[in-house]
Amino acid sequence: MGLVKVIPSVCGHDCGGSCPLNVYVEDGRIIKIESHDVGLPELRPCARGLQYHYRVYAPDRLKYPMKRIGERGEGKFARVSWDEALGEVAEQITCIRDAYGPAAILNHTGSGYFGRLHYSGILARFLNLIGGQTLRWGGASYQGGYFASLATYGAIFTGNDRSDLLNSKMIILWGSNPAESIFGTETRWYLTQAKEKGTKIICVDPRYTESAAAWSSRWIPIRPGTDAAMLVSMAYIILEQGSQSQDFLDTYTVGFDKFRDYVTGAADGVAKTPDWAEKITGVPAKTIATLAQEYAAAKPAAIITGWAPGRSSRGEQYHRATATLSAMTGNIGIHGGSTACLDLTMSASPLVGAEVPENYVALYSDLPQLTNPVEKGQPLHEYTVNGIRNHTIDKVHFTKVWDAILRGKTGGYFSDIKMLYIIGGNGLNQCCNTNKAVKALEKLEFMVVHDHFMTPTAKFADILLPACTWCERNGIHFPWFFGHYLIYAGKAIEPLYESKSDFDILNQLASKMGLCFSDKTEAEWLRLFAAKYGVTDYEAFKADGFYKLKMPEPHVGFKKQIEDPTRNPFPTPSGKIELFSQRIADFNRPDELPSVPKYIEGWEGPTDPKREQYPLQLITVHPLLRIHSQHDNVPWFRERQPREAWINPADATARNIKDRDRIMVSNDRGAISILAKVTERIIPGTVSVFQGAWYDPDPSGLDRGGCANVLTLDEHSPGGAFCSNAALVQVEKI
Amino acid sequence: MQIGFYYDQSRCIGCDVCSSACRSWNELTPEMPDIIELVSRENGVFPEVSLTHLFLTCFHCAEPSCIPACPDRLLVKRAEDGIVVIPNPEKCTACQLCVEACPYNAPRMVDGGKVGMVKCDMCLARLDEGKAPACVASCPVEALDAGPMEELIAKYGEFMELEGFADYRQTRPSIIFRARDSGRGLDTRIF
Repeated sequence: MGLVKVIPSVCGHDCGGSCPLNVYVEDGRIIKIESHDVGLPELRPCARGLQYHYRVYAPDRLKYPMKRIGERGEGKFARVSWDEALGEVAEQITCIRDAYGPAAILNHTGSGYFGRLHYSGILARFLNLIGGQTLRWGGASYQGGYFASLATYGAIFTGNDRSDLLNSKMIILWGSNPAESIFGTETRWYLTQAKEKGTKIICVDPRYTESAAAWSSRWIPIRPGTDAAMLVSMAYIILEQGSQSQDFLDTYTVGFDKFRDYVTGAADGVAKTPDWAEKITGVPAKTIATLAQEYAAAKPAAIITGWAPGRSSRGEQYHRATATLSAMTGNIGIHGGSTACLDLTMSASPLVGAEVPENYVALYSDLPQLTNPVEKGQPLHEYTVNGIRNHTIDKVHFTKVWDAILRGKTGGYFSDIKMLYIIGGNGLNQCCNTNKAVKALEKLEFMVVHDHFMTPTAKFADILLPACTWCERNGIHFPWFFGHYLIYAGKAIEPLYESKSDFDILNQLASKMGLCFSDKTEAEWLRLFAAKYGVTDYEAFKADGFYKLKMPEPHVGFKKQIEDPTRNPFPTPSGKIELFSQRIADFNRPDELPSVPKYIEGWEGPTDPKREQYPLQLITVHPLLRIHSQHDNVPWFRERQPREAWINPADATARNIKDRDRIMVSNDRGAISILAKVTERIIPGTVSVFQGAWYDPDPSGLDRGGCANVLTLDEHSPGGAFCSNAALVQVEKI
Repeated sequence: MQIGFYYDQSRCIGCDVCSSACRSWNELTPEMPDIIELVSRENGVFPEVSLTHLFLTCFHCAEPSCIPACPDRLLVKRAEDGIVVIPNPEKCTACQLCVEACPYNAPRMVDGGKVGMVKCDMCLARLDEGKAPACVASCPVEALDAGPMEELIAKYGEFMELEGFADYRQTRPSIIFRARDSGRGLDTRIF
């Protein structure tokens, strides 16, 4: 037995957490991983990080650069040298850029991993260097909330620290399931502490989740996509009993009268009573009224807004409505309250609060993205909402990537996409409408992928480059969101096989093209970033692997704005919280994007005529033991995270389906084969599939893998939300 | 002295961290079984449902039924701390008699019973360094604790019974509980 070294490290996927770990290395091999005891029990990891080495050493790790030799998507590859692989990529990029312009190259990177230097999104910098790229707009996770937050508050980092939940008298987990989705490493800890303090916790969700079981005293099941209706009728009750914080509304908000007229029915003749909402949501009117009364009386109270309800065809309305309830109850800017809406806290940064990042990359990485020559001088997109979303016309919405490839300029898109470049992304699997994605990828001239594994997306690559994991390089990590700490993740082992970091690959590729991707080394960047976040003793930070930023008290979003509104206006045009948004009104699509939050039914909702054929509402939820599609190939996680669809006994019995039966979930976009979990833990009329299982079609096209996105529609909400929870399906036994 | 566990069922969020941490620390290769199993049970009818977890591993019983069951007497209860260990696992013939004897299904057969047995040893090496067992040190909500039974009892009380948990009088397992408040209908056939 050799000497065992213990390297402080991290688990930093896009899972909702960023957790300090210790990696044990013997003879150059990781033998075990433990929770790094930094003296803070709230920063313990989840099951995935603790067995990360089984992912690192998985037999199917990509070992060498490879070149496609079969049909695209067939998965047949031949090993090539790095020199040949990078030479081919450099040549193809040059050819495609020169023949069609840089907008023919679409950056379809995923959120494979986060680090301040090493981050899958650094591809944007590289493609800007070579002349530009087509970028996407719309975050798959949260765009409904992002839009709503900018419209309402003028900012996205509006949330309170999780530790502040200890000051709440009541917490509503709305479509939020941090027991499984983590959502801030600290969240599980503080919800547990709050519950034990006697804080009342309520869970509104179509499923009785682990979070509902762990923390809530009451589960309120709701039909997916109808959350805004319930919130609006809660506002009705608060108004009816006159318990709104009128002083707060008068001082800090604009447009409450317009919202009130909608709620009371003065505007449209329909009073948004709990009886009205019951018919839509399936939640008993009495339950809605009681919750509204309790919430209004429980100040301070926090609504923890999950992002899942926002991933529906009118998802931004849900986020706007939660913000409005928070304002009506005066819970904004105070300890124990919440702004709701997007409910996000910028981690670690000394710039918490009303800050809007220039772009997504700046949110996740400190390596400058540079500017995209393609968007220079371009007019604004048709989906522009001035000051909230100012995308230029060249950008493609995340859900429309497949359509853009298939239809190009003749379909109204800015460019004809000829090439996809992907780092740490499994878009075929993780973006809506997988079968359409297959057709789109087949049409490309060239596709390059950096990954750890032969994912369903990687199979379509022309050149496939093996990337290393964070165990094989040095990095600095933020919390995912929430919390104020930095982690130094030391290189535990040399890159396995011929793998390299994405940073190194891009450096070498740039040199091949006569360009300089980075004028600093990994070590130089990391030292610079650490200093930026206030680390004074860099060597100690490296040795400890952990740095806690001191916070005098839990951060409260908009505390300054509430304490002294004259000196500290909200970063909106009116300087106030915009319950009515003139910027949205100017967008002039009132039926789909109203200027005050409303319940509006979008496509594939409760009364869609398609229901005759596809009567069940599909939701695609986050699994406990996968991170999106990551870990699906690691046996322990795969066995314990069964590929199953939840269905209520009422729906199962009607279809002669028993627990553990193999079923087909289908609609006009495709069909998946999956095991049925017949359970009382889901509201009737709804089917839930854990997203992230790997697409594996049989010759007839039936997906044996159980990939949820075979069933989702590649359409976005008017605010830009991914609508992965808005799809209608039928289920049958097979 | 007897080292034992505390399990707070009301805190447990069913996240499998205990089991994963155990696998990692004990270097269990993929073909090895879990030493810790978190068993979950759904109860009730929509919308009045509940979900209960139970932490199952070796509880280092005061009167272990596995020790007399082993024909080769491979299992040993340590005098100094009461931890039940298998010092020479390579001698295990995988007869499975210990598995049958244990009310908690704690000894786990490797590779379907062809190779031998694994079970919890309270992470002895960690205890020697003054660290808690890997499961305890990793639980994100501190639903687990380990230590001398008299200390655990002083800290958490003396609840030895949990609905659905095998009668503690059989083997006197070294575990105390805090029950989930609802505590409804755990199926005894499962646990």
